This record gives sequence, structure tokens and C-alpha cells, in this order.
Amino acid sequence: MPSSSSSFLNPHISSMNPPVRLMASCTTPCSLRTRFALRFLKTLVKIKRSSPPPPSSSSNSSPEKTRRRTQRIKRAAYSSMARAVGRRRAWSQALMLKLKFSVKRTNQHPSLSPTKMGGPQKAPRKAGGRILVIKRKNSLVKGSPWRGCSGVDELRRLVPGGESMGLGVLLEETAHFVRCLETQVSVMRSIADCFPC
Amino acid sequence: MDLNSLLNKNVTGDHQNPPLHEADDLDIAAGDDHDFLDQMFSTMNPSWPDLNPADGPELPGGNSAGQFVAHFDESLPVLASKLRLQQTGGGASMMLQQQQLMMMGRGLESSHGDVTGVDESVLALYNGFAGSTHGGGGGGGQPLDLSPPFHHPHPQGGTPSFGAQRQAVKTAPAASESPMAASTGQPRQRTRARRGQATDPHSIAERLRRERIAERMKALQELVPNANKTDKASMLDEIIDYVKFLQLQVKVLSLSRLGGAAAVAPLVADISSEGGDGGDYVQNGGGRSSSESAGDTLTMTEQQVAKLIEEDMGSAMQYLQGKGLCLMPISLATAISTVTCNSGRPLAGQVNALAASNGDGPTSPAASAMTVQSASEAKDASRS
Repeated sequence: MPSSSSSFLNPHISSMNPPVRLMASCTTPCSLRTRFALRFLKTLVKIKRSSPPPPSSSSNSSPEKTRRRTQRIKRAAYSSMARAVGRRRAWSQALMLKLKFSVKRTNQHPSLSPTKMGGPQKAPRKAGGRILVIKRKNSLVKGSPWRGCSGVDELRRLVPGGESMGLGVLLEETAHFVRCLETQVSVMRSIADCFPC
Repeated sequence: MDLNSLLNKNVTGDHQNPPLHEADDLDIAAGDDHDFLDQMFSTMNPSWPDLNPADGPELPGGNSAGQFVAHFDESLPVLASKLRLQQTGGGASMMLQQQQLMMMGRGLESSHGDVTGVDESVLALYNGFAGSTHGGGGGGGQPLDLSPPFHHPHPQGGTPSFGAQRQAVKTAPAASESPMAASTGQPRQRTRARRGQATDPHSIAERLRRERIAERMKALQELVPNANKTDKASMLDEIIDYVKFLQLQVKVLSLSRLGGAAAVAPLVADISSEGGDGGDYVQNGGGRSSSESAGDTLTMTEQQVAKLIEEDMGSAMQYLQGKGLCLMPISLATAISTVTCNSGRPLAGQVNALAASNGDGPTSPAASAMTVQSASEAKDASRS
């Protein structure tokens, strides 16, 4: 599985006696994967504590509450991933900023839903309600084969902070972003698998 | 041999230059390019004491220039032809060579039997020489350093044409005209571009930028599956789809955290309808988290691992690694299983404790270490 973490197995493993149990995701402590997993689990636990998971019968919890909880978890996943990456990447910085502002906005207007990740991303909003859009003049796209590509604009929307990057930087950030997304998905999947309840 | 006669007229019989030696050099130089200059500069002849070798900043190695001058009469045209040999192609190189010859001719004409006139022309030749070496990198020849130690020019394949070039050199000063004057204004440090490509910094920067982008696209191509598209636009679309797919997966997985397939199912129906563009991606991710119970897949995995362990531990490890799993001792597993399956509340403290303790077993514990109750039971059953 492609992941930015370098997973190495402890040499003692081969000398271990069977039977052994299957466990999930063992990697070096410093890898992106473990950092993300740590933070995410902590946040998950917090969410579980604050709003308890609805029981198996779906009739108990309202769809609205469920949706809100889903969004909380999703936001927690992205924020823990961004924090695990830290300030090393432009996209993580932009993502942290965006999440911070979206949380602020939710606190001010509880009726409105925070910005979704999958949708078109706007630049972070200021608390006063003004929309601050950072747009960069794409003078570099002029004479190149990338000129007529609408895909580039779409990619800018998908990658956090992509609006104000040059094409070269954008592609680099996209590569790292994709790797981190894959890590995120694999960790979340293993958590989901191991916690059926 | 007009040039030579002219030179001989100017140069008095001061020097003890062995012309015979030079003649030998010329003869064998056809076959031995690099040896020629070696011999020329090995037979140092400080026989022109009144020549001032340190003539301004133009001569970096004054001594060698003086020695260079010593073999002036025969060596000049030969050197010019050597320059020619050095530079294979490129209009600028021709111009430079012709420029040197022009200057040489000019220097010769202006001299009145004066050694200094010869010196001037030598300097002109040297300037041309130096200039051409700066600009001659693209021609495949190594730059000649007149300051010691002397590097030989790269032996060219142009040896058969040596004779012809000599003739050309001889006739060049007569034929060349004033366009050379324009070339003298060219800066010596111009980077020689390949033929057919502009040399101005903008296009170079543009080219560099395009190469950077191309290599980043290649890196992305390796990350994204189904990356066999050669077209850039379709590659971009593929990347975009993949990113959207991964984000969709995160969304769906965050749904499954709510616990219980029943809660997830109706919501997943909505999600799959709104985001159904994953193509072959969706089959992998979306269906699993909704319909299948998690235990089934793990049982299959673990049976596979059990089989692999029987045969070869290494491949079993690799298989696990590929799935993002690893092995852990039973004690830890039971500890975690009691924690998780009893209630959700103590989970917080336990998981934190687990995360805090490092090096707890042979495996380095990650925070996401969890146990699978059903899987472990099945494993025991298969083992016993």
C-alpha cells in the first residue's frame, strides 16, 4: 500500500512463536502514518465521549445528528492529518487555516453547516463574514500546453491552498496530498475494520 | 603559404626556433592531434626576450603566452586549424574563428617588421582562442587553457579534414570580410545553446519550468493508478478523479464510525448516488464499509496469513505489510480486546495508555493497535 511512512518490521518478529494475533498497522513511531493515527484516534475518542455513538437501531438518533457527527469525524480526520504533516507543506497549512476558520464560522452561526471538503473550496473566510479570495495571476500558464486545461483549475479547487500556487508547486503538493490521503484512508479503514461495534 | 612568408618577413632571425621540428610537428599532427600541441609547448623557447608576455589582462599566463609566441611562425595557422577542429559546427564558432583570423591578418598587416606587431596578432589570436574556448563547449571540445598546465583539445574525428582545413585557414584571411567585426561585440561568456534553440534567458527558464512540470507529472503518474494515459489532459483528469475518490472514501469511512451497519446503510445509499464517479475505484472502497461485516474480510486475510506463515515467514510478513497489518503478542491483544469489547468508556484511558507505552513488545506499538476478537478465535481454531 503506498504510504509516505516507512514501515519496517522488528527483527524479533521472525523469532516469535506462533500463535500470534493479527493486529493493525505497525510502523515506526515517527512515520506520518503513526502520527496521523495517534491524533485521529485521540480526536475520535473525544468525539465518542462527547456525543455517544447511536445504538445499532437507526431509529434512535435523528438523521441530522448523525450527519453532524459524520461531519465532525470527517473534519477530525482532515485536521489530524494536516496537523500530522505540520507546516512542512503548503497544503497542510492552508487546510489547517481553512478548518480553523470553518469551525469559527460554525460557532458563530450554528445553523449553517461548515464547508464541505468535497465541494468547491473557497479561501478561508474572515470572522467578519467577508470572503478573502487569494487569486494568483497565472501568467506562467500563458504559452505552455497547460493553457486550455480546465483540469488545472479543478485541481486547484481540490487541493487545499491550491488557488495561489504555481503549476509546478501545485503538482508537487498534489503528489504529497494524494499520498497523505491514501494513508488516511488506510488507517481509517483498519480502524473501521477492527472496531465493528 | 602567404601567411607564412609574411610572418617570416616580420620575424627576424633572433629565435632559434627549429623549423624542422615544426615541420615534423605539422606532418605528424595529421594523425596525432593532441601530441602536436604537447610538443609545441614542450619545446619552450624563451628566445624572444624583448617580447613582453604580460600584456595587460588579456594574457593570464604570461610565460606560456611568451612561449606560445616562440613558435609563432609555423604554429599560428596550425593553431587556427586546431581551433577549427575543436569546434564542430555552429555558426558562431565559424564566426569566431574567422574573427580571429581576421584579427590576425589585421595585426600582420599593420606590423612593420616589428615584433610587437606580431605580438598583437598573437594576442588577437589568443583572444579569439580564449573566446572560442569559452564558446566552444558545445562543440564537444574541451576548453583550452593557455595557463599551465595545458590541456589538449579533445581529439576530434576531423583528422582527415585537417589538411583541407589548413587550406581553408590559409585562404580565410583573404576571403573574410567585415561581418567579423560584428561578432567581436559578442560577449565571450555566452552559453552555447544547442542548435535550433534560442539562447535568451526567457526561453531557457521556460524550458526548465516545463521540464520541472513534466517530471512532477511523471511522479504523480506513479502514484495514481490507471496512469497509462499519455495525454496530459487525460492524466490530469485521472488525478482529479483519484483525489475525489479518496475524499469520498474518507467521507464514507467517517460514516461507518457511527457504528452499526444499519445506521450506515441508508446514508451510504445517498453517498453512492451523489458521488458515483469513482469508476472502478468505488467497488473497492464503498461497498465494503457498508454491506460486509468487517470480520469476514479479516478472517480471509488471516487464513491467508496462516498459510503463508507455514511456508515462509518473510512472505507472510510482506503480505501483512501490504495490507497494513502486523503481528502482536497475545497478552497485548487480550488486554486491548477486553478494553474494547466491554465498553466504550474505558477505551479512552486504555488507548491512551497503550499509545504512551512504547516498546511494549517485539513490535512497536502504534496507537491504532486493536484486536479482532473473532479473528483471534478463528485463528486459535485453525491452529489447534
